[in-house]
Amino acid sequence: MTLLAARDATGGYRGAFTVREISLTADAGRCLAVIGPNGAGKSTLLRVLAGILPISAGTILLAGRPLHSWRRREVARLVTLVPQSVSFAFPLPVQEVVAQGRAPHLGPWRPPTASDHAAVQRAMAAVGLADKANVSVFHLSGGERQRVILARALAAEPRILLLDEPASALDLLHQKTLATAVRKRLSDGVAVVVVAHDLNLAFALADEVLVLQQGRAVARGEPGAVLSPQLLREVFGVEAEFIARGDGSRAILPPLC
Amino acid sequence: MTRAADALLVVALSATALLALLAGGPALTVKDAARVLLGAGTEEAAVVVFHLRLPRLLLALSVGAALAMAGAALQSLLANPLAEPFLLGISGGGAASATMAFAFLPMASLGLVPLAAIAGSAVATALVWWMASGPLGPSPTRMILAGVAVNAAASAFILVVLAATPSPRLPGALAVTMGSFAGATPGAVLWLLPYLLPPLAVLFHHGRDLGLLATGEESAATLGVEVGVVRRRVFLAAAALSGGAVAFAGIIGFVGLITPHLCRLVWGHSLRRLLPRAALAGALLCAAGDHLARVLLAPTEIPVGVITAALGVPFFVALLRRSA
Repeated sequence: MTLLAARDATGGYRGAFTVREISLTADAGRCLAVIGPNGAGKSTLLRVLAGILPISAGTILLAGRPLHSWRRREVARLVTLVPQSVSFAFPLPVQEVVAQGRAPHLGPWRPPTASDHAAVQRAMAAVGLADKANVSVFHLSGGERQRVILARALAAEPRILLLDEPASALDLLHQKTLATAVRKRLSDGVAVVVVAHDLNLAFALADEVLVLQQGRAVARGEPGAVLSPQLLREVFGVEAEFIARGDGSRAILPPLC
Repeated sequence: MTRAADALLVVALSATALLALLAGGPALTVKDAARVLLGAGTEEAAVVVFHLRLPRLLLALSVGAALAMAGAALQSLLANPLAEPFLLGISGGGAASATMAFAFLPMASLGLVPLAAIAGSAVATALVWWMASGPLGPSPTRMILAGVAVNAAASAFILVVLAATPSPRLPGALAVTMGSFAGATPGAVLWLLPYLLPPLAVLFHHGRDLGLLATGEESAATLGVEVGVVRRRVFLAAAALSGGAVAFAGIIGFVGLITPHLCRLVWGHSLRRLLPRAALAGALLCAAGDHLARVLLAPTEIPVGVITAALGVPFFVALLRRSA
């Protein structure tokens, strides 16, 4: 089932960082990975899909209705964007940040209920932060902060999860925790769109890959079909080596030397 | 712990209020003032307590509460621990406009001074915002620099206005720049309330949104906050609170900076919990500061802004060092 669909959508920041004529769908239980070189417009695309940046042409439909016709809070109940980082002005405890994820469901006045608290606890447990509930975010490492932001999004229990480089600061163990958490949401019927630099993360999670270059989609399809040595040469300008893994899947060795 | 702090705050506030009514000023002994409060006492003593000291106390309490709440809200709205009406030039803009109103408005329309102050505060807020915002939102550093610029412009404007003010109007216009509760009358306190209550309702209504905005505008938008709408309303509310305070008591700096931070240490960062405590603490700071201003060099009175600056500047430096 298609939850979010973009058709020839053009949009982004005024003056700079735009994406052009993008078509894609985010479907329940499926993961779309967006890849491309630095500055290709991947993060901009996620913000356009979340309705935070405007479109100037084309359409974006959320549950069949134009995205701009939804109220901001209604969108936030269905769609959650996980930015790469959040700057904290005050030393909030982890639990309080994660609980912010419930805000779209509460509105301005309704106090959180037991089910809201339970969602917050589940989200912290899912990213391995249950034991840091009362620690100030000022005392966390970059990777831990990234997990706090992810937990906040999971606590929102959205139908569509938009992840911007969710593993950029995570160690190997927590990359695995992330993958497990995302797979769990996919099996619950959540639609996931993930911007990934790590092509192996795209390989591991995605049902479909969208390749962006200079704001435009240059390829779209199953990861196995799209991610080829030729594409990496044309889009990223590198010669990468593909290796077969024990379970028959493929992995990409980054060309560092 | 927070319960005990609540109780302590209320006790300290009550004690300060009582002290302000009983002592301070050579006109009345503490015993005579106490008699008035107990319903006895002479008529002259009653006039001093109810017509001089009580309005002054109430004005200090209201202005302190207004400035502290404006500071707490601005800090969250702008995700900037250094934000407050004085440093951002919002009080300065209000003072510039109020000074001009005092100097040149016809006598009969001096009731419009608060509106002029609020308009000046709103213009200053808009200017600071415009100067500080870039394509990716406002940066905290640019915002403080913009506040410096607006403050400088406001000071220059005030000096020009004072130079051109007709001499009978000079004391009123000058009082705006000083920061003092000495001009309090029972009427002034009543006039201030309409400028305080609607902004208060706006800040409480957007309490949760402000908590989300403290993690950045984009982050708040992803969690359902209509950032543009909330920003406009909270800016206007902060301008009304600061402008109202300036119109009746002049520029009093740092109350909006110190009190929210001290309260955040004790009660955490949730705005709904923070706003009432910051209001009480701001009221306490201004009432206590005013009392000190009256008694420290009695019979000479120090402007209360001197006392709050003496407390605020070291605090500001400490915050700056920590955030560096």
